[in-house]
Amino acid sequence: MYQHLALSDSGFLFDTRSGSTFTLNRTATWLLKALIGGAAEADLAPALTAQFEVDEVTASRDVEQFLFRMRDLHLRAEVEAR
Amino acid sequence: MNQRLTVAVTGLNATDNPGPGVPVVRAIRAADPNVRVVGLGYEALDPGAYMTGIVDHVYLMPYPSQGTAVTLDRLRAIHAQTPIDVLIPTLDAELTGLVKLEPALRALGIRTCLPSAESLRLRAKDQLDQLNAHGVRVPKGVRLTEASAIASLDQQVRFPVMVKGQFYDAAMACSPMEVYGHFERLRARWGVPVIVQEFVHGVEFDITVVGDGQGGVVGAVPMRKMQLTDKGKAWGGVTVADPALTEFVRATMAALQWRGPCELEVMRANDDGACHLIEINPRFPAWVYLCVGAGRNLPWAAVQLALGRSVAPLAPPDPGVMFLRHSYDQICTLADYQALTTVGELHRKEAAA
Repeated sequence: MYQHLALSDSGFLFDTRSGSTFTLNRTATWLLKALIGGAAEADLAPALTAQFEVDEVTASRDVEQFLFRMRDLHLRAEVEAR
Repeated sequence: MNQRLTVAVTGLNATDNPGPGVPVVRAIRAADPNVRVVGLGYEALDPGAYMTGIVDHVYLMPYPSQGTAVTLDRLRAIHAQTPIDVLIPTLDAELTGLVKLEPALRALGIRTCLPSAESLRLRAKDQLDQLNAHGVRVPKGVRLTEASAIASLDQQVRFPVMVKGQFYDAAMACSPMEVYGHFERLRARWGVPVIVQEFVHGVEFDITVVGDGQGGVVGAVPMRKMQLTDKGKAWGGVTVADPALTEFVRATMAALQWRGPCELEVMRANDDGACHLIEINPRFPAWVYLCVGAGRNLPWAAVQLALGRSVAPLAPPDPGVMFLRHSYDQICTLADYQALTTVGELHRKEAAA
């Protein structure tokens, strides 16, 4: 689903289908790497809590905003289509 | 055929909307540095004529508007002096005449890789929406030949629209009144018809393609513009890999049965992701050197096809190959300018083959 996204460790993202490029912050890079690696969206908030010093409510909100932003940028087209 | 392959290329002009001649030559030289290149220009100040390592010989040509007989006479005279194996035209206005001249050129021994007259007719801006019947989605278009037809436009198309000159130039209009302003300007500059085309909200992709004339694709390089000039021309871009775009190119070329080079301008709609064909340019684009960087040398493929050699279809290129255009001031000799203005030709010392 996310295989068309090329993401570097520094957070530089290239959408190979659209040609668009983005710069992600550290948390977004971590989240997107997890998605590209096959993680389910529902598992992101618990994983974020385990990885960073953040409570569950904040992690859930941040993940939700991250996924909305991904959709705004047309990076989740196939998720929307389902 | 000459022992050393000689390829003639047009379009040596360069402004902020440069001709594709120089990048086509660079691509050919990248494939075979021994090719002798004849540059065919229309103005003594075409910068490509003066660039080091681009053309070996330069000849000025009469403008295509002077007719095919004049063009053929000039090509015959050039060919007698510097025999040409292959001619690659790169300017829209040249195509109609050269397609008509193709048998005469072939008889002279000048090979080309050109579309048929019917393919060329279908790609005209005012004919393009006929491709909808072949399954290629093209935005609804209306041909305007007189201003009186503009008042009822809002009953025929959905605004906003693009208003296009029959050869070049386009502007967006949100109402019939705005169409009227653009219509008068475009009619004065390019004549009629002026084409009104429904606007597609989306992302534009440009694909340079070489077709085999049987409905197949020899190679295609899709690009997303990264920065534009104020005329909307690419001044930087990056290759993309989108299976939907690849399939759209395949379907378009199958419908057109296009032979030789072209550039497809495609909008991918924001709402449903569908591809819409906006325009077809019947020649390589000025950004064609990106093909070499992407490992798909389409100008060289066109030369091979012109020579009657088969070219195995090229796989889509990797995404992420970028180009950024640059302009620089080159120092030229007055002697070169004098040669082009007085005798209409310029000959450089050729490197040993």
